[in-house]
Amino acid sequence: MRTSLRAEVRKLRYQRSTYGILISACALAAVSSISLIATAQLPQQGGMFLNLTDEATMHLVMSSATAGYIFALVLGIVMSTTEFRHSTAVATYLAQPKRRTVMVAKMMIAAVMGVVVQLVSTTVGMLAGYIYVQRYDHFALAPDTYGRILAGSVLVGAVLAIVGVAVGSLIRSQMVAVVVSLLWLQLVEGLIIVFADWLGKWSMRSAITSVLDVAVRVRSPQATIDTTNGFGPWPSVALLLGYAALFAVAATVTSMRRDVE
Amino acid sequence: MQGAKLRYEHLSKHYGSTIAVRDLSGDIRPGVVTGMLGPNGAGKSTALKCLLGLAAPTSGGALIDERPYAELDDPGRRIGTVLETRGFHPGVTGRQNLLVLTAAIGIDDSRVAQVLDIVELTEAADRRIKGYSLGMRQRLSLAAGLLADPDTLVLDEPGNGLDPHAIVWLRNLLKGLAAEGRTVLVSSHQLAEMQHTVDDVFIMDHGDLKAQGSMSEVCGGRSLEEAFLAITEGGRL
Repeated sequence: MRTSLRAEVRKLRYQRSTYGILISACALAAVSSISLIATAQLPQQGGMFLNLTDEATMHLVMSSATAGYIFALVLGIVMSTTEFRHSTAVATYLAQPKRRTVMVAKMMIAAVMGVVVQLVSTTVGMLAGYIYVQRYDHFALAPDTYGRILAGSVLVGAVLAIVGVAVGSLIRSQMVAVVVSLLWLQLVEGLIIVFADWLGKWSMRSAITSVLDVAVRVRSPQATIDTTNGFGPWPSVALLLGYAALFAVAATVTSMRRDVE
Repeated sequence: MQGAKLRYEHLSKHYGSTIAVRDLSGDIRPGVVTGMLGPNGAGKSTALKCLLGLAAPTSGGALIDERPYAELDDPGRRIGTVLETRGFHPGVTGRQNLLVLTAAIGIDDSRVAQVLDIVELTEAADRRIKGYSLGMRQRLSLAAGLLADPDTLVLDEPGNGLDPHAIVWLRNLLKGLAAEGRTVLVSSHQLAEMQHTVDDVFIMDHGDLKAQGSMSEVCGGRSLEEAFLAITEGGRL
């Protein structure tokens, strides 16, 4: 196991994509928090909620700095699919033919990297938001609020990186795995949450929303969007861990049965 | 040094309705170079993948010292491999690709410089793989195969992309390693070159083992190419 862990760390260290993903996560986190603050300055209609002197709005602004979690998922996918894209899986499984060991090592390192991605990108995003919001009247959040946001963010990062490794192992095509995952998480689950909340609250997206505390309720003459109907934070943590375990088992069992090309 | 005894026991491998290898049996002994020879599509690479645990046999099996590859102690150190399907990350340097392998098989990083020197790739070691020629990639594959100073070598078409000078070097290397008591199994479709390299042969065609034995037993005074064509009844090359 130790040798497989060391090998996975070296792969990530040597590949430029690792740094690209980290930088992209930071950029998305910063843009997310700053754009919400900027949106709050626009003329508002229909009882919109973005008022920076309101605690809930400021909480949402800082929570939006967790948006880089998508890149934790992508990092996990890339860790798996790169092996098949460049046929390095052959060398990986020759060095360690016990495929369960390889999968566990990959997921352990992915989880650590998911934590790193979210720790760094969320900190950058919150810092950017904090600096930008100083020019406006705003509600000052308590320091422990930042801590709670960060804790939820790293947990989601770790889980999604594991799910990413599993999805990449199951689908193997990098492009297909990334597109399918993002479409599922951002579009399909989003629609399920809006149009069938009884089912949507079991979705990964709903659990992420709850853990990151980024639920929104918008009521306007044009539309009503309410993503606050999911489970509470702790059941959502359990749901996310359940998803991670399910994907991890499915990917490991599948990898043990498939030939390596 | 004593190489491993390799054994195929009625190995068959099917991909759907396609039979890649059918009922392959035979022993590969240490101390000699054994050639698994045949045209493209003969089933050589599939037989090697089954031996190395990369592909699951449909029936039968392939053993290394009476055990499947996955059940060996430190298989990555004992068995050196050069496979056509083995890839390297193109965005990473040759040296870094080998450093990933030293970590994976748990050997000292200092060995990387030694094998790069052996395959004469030291000068290009810090260039990214995407800038390597086919011959340089093949040399890097050989370096990866030699990394752990293994007692057994399994090579799939190792001469592909090598220039004549490198092919002579490779031939001498394989013969030298076998002379030290190591097991060397090499698959190839280049019969003229293998004539000068191998001691024992497995001749395969369309997934079937057509002949096996020492070169003198199989060729009977003919060239390897003539013997192959006779055995496979003028088969394709």
